[in-house]
Amino acid sequence: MIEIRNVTQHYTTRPVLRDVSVTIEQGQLVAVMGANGMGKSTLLGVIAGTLAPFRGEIAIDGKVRRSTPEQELAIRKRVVYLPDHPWLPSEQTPKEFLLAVGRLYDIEEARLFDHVDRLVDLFHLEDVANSTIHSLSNGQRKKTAIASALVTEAPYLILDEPFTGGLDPSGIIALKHVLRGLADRADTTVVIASQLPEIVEALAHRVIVMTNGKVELDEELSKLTEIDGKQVSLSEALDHIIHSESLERIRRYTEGQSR
Amino acid sequence: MRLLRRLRPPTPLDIGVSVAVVFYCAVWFFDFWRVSTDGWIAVLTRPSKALLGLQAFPLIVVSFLYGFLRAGIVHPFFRAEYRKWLERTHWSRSYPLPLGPIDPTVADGLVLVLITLASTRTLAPPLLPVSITILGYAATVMAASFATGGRAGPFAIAVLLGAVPQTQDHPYVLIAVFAALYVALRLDLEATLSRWPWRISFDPSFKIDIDDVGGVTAVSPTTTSQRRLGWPYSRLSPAPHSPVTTREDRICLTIIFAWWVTATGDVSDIVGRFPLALVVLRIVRLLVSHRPPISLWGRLRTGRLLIPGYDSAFIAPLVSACCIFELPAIGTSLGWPTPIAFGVSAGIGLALLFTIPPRIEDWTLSGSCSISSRFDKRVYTQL
Repeated sequence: MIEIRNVTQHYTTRPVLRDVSVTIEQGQLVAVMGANGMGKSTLLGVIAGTLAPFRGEIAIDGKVRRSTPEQELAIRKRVVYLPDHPWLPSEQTPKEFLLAVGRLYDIEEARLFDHVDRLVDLFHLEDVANSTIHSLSNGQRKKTAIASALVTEAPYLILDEPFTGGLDPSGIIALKHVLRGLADRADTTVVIASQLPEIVEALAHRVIVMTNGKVELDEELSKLTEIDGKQVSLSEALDHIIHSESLERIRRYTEGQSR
Repeated sequence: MRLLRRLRPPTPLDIGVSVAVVFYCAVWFFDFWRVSTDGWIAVLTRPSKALLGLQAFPLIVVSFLYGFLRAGIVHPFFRAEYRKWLERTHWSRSYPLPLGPIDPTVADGLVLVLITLASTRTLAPPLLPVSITILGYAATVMAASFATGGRAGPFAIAVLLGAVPQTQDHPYVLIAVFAALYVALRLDLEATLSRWPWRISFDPSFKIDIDDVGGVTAVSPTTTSQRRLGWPYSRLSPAPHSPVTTREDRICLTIIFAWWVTATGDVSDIVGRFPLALVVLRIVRLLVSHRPPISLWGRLRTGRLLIPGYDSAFIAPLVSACCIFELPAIGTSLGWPTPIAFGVSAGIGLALLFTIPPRIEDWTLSGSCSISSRFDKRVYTQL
């Protein structure tokens, strides 16, 4: 379980997160949505431990992040974070990189080799598996980065915009299916930041919408997409809930035009 | 022919040594020609000391590089590929090293004689270039020994090295120190090679150690290589940090450095300030790799001027810098000789830098610091 308790995060004087409190149960796949600059990546960074909150704390499985070196290392073992712009070791091949990441997370060697082979196959990286990462295209690097998060077999995956950054349709399908499979497991918790309602709709159990550093909306997907007893798409639901004022303005504008 | 082969130094330094020899000889011939003629050039280049200084500089640089590379080029510790290959063979100390011996040979003795002869035509003290060569060689051997688990050997060599500058004006004592150093280096090298295969605490090669052996990939990452996996794995590594030095090591290193500063005599006021470089490095490293939870402007605006969880990491470098700057004056006012005042100050400064909590490893895990990916961006490929 991930507990975000009264987290406030500044970069300069403007708070990017304002007293955010959220609890994410184990086994959930939670999508964090919101417009640019609303605090999605910051929230994920705070959960992942790359950012130290100005106020508040993060607890994972009851252990508070950055409380003691031992607890922090124990948390790191169970959490893997993939930022929207990871930096990969350019002179290594994808296969070497994945093996090394797996070793970092103490994955049993035989299982690791098998998992790496399957990931290379899944993301169509066979032809470049033994080329240096430097020579890979952006999409292939993105696939390698995603595979590196999956190879850790960590029970908590924090993925920032995993579906962007040059991922081709086959990569999107592969990642969607893998995340769907993880979402169905009770022992794996996934938190993704995404701007794509159609992807979130296909994956998430729960949606958190951030606005100006606050949790604007935190709802189960099934409840969110039900408006006035009618099932609508997530995109429509978000429009209805978050952008109702904008929709009203658009309506007024188009009515005026037609007169 | 066999004799000639035995006399050849076992290092691929042919080009480097040749360039140095040609440069030295060119300067020497120019000097000779200038002195032996009364032409206009003699007027222009009257300050002969400058010319001799010009000869001394490359000689000292080449002397150090020869010593440094002589051991480094053939030492398996510094060559990851060589080490990996050697690990797969049945090599042990009872066999000679395939790329040539690390221990000094007759050929190295000849090089030292040549360097000594060359130094007689420069402003440098006669045995200074040889001392520099030995320093370079000893530094390499010591580093490899230390990283492979040796302690007594490297520390003994370090203490003896401190005696070299002190005895520069007493050639017989200096030669005795050289002899003691030779014995210590041979014994330490023997002990290092006897520890093969090594469990190394620090890998000097920038490579993830993954090899393909006969079609089967074997993964053998060291802690160091595990930390070179880019952003975010290098910075959010779940592997516990295994420091290269223990608390006892750091105490010994501090005492040895204080001894070195004292030994440098007239230049102890310069050498005694060297730990400031470590202080600056520590501060730069902290600032580059870890950001505070709020900016300086944010601190001023919110009134939270101090953030203990972040600022605590800067106490040790600042206190250490104060000691290195201020203690020598206090020491000399108490009547201590200058080298001792600077030696003691440098030792205390280093000790404080190493011991004042929090440990950097702990602070990066539990301090109120945000991890910055700026450094990783320079090192790794962008997605």
